[in-house]
Amino acid sequence: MTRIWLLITGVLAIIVFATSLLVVIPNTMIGQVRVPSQLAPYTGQQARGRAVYVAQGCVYCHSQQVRDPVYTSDKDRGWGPRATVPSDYVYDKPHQLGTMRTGPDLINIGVRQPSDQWHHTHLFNPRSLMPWSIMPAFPYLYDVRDSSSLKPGEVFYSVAGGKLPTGKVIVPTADADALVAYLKSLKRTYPVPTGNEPAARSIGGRSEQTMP
Amino acid sequence: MTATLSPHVVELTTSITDLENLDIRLRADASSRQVALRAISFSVIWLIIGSAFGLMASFKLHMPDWLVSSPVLTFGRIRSAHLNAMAYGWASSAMLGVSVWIIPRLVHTELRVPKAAEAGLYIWNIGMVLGIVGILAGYSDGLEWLEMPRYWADPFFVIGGGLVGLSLLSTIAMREVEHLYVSVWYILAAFIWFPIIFVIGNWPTFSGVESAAVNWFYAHNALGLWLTPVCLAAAYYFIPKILGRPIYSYQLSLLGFWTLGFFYSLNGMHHLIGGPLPTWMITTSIVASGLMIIPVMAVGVNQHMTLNKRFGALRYSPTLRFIVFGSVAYTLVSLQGVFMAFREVNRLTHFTHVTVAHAHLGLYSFVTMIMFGSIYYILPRLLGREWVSEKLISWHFWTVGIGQIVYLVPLTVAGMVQGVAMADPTSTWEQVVKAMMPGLIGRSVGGTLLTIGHCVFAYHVWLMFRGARSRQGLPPFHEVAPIITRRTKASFVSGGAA
Amino acid sequence: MLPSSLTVTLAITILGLLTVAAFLWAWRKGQFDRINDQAMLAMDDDDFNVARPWETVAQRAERVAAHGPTQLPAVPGIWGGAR
Ligand code: HEM
Ligand code: HEM
Repeated sequence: MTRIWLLITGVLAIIVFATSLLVVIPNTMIGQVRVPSQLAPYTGQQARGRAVYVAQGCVYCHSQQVRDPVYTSDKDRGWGPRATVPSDYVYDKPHQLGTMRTGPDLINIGVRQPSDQWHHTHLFNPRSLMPWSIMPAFPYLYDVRDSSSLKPGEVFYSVAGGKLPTGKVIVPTADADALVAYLKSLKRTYPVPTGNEPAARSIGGRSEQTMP
Repeated sequence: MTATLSPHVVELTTSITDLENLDIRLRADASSRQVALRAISFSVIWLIIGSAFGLMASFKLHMPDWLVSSPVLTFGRIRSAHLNAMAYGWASSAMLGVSVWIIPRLVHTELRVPKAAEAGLYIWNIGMVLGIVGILAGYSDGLEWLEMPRYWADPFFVIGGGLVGLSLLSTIAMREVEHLYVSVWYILAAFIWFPIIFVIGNWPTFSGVESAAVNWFYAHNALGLWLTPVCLAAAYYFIPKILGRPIYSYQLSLLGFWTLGFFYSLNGMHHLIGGPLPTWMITTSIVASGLMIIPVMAVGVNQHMTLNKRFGALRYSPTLRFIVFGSVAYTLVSLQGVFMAFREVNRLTHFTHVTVAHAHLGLYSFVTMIMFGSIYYILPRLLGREWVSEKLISWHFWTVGIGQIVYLVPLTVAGMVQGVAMADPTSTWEQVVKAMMPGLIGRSVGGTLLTIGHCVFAYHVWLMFRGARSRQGLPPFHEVAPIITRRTKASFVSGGAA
Repeated sequence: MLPSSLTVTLAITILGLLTVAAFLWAWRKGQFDRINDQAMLAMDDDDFNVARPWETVAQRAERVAAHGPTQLPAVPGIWGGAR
């Protein structure tokens, strides 16, 4: 080979071809996804919780997808009633599909664990609930306080499993409250959208409905 | 230009018969010297930083209450700091250095606009610092392989990589040879591909599953169109050169180049097998993954046949030893990857530590080992002195060699057990977690060995830069005793490491 | 949706045809002639004159026959820039 331009052309052709096939075509051709009527956009607090989820890097241990029950046991493990579909993720930006399950899948954690108490004590120290858990503790999301110092109306939780000295309780920070609100919102149990829903939009995410 | 090299070099020119050839290499090396030396020193610093993060992440997975009081040190942040410090700091900086050093040699001329290359290197590394600080401070973009903040770290990589690419391109344009060797193809292609895919990967408009598709389109191409080609280029240069015989089949290497580019670029969706994407996208990537057999075997057969009947060379040259280790790992990791891309296998191995083991077989045993080998060859030639101690090289090789086995084998096995346990809906999550524990602990032990090896290597590089008195050595191959396995009384003075 | 998919299909087809054309052109122009000789591009002449301790007698004889006698080693301690 003696011609650089030939080499450069070939190299560019390869990347243009691949980008067309895997980025441009999906964007233009199959980009029409129905917004499921049962799926509400994230509220401000849930969106903040999602940002906390992203910033702590939860995705490195938790996926958010249920694969096809025909050839995986995701459904049988109780992670969701059906495989998830593109429209389940219209409000997700950035996506958090994940490639690792050091911990269980979370796309339906809001169904499995609806309790604030459970989430807060679990996040404060997972081993307070499951001694064998290897999930990191997130004590920095909580204020540890004397139960005597609580003001009336303040929300607090006690922690089981000997993870706190007696007389101490945890008070969630705003971040912790937001994170739990987000986790509780993770529910993709409605039936797969049939296509009769009103609003069609591009999964390209250029609509204002995406998470702020 | 000899003035910038050590005084020995001037002497050397008179002691070698083939002056013209030598002169080309001297001119080439002198022109890339400064950039390549800087790049290598930056890369070694990132190697140490990345090892600290990796080791910390590894221990955290079986000591979950260790260092949890600050968000900066939480597993998720340390882990992505590790990935980015290693892939973009260590491997990429080393690759920048190797590229600016190899290209002038292969096109028989000086590195052009070396100032641009040097500026590019600095800009890249500034981006690294901003990126790692951003991740640790909680400003991750949230996309694997693209965590560094989109607006205040990522532009540095496009501009920095682009500037180095510009310098390489002008060098190639001013070449004094007619034909371009295959290593030049790989490097040139990688420097064109990288800025393009990096911009696409960071494009801010995507959301939902499309953002996942673009994420993995980028991440796979970062492996296949950036890290892999430069490392293959180094292997295609050093193996023939050290053995003194040209590559077995040049046709095969060309076939390997074009098929690598064409198939690798379509591989990305195999990271999302079973995920909520249109099936045709995933199927396309699975087919392209299967076809990767072609470039992989082209490289594997070629390098094996070049080395054939000369395996004894591995005992003499550390460069060759590290690079052949890396090349074998390339074949292994790719064949493993092809299997992991099939739905039947992937349904078990996806989401398990088999993937992490595969990632390190690729990024450690292939990429990192090839970069170690290249640095062993390049540094003595740029500094005008031999490596200080064969013992240190030996220690480096054996700690990282054994470290990799201890890291990879238990993790792969544990990952498989984890996958089988997860596939059985009657197993509890507690059983799944317990299944992966031996692998997690094995990784910490292996990772500790690797980190020790990295410290030995960094210390040795530091001794080199500091100008520690090297033992007076002969150029490579005049050394009689094998210098890695065992040191007997040599009839020549010691040396000749690379 | 249809027009844009048509555009993309068309663009890819044109790109593909251009690639094929470039390849044929390169072939006709002799870019792929004597291809195995290009493997020598990585080698410098003196790479072949250096004796290597792992060579067998036969391998050494073969190399010397093809590339001339082994060069004397350079002076010990001399490193920079070459080889
Ligand atoms: C000191 C030696 C090393 C140790 C102890 C180490 C440890 C780790 C750990 C604990 C993880 C997280 C795995 C998980 O999420 O379960 C990881 C991921 C990763 N490391 Fe390393 N590592 C080392 C060296 C390297 C090197 C040299 C590179 C690259 C040049 C590298 C590249 C990566 C990549 C790409 C991932 C992400 C893997 C994935 O997403 O599947 N590591 N490493
Ligand atoms: C033909 C070659 C290859 C094929 C077909 C292949 C296939 C795969 C597949 C299917 C996965 C996804 C595993 C999963 O999540 O279930 C994967 C992950 C990975 N591969 Fe490969 N691989 C190949 C070569 C390589 C090479 C040469 C490298 C290193 C330079 C490499 C590095 C990685 C890394 C780092 C990951 C983990 C990505 C992440 O999750 O962060 N692979 N590979």
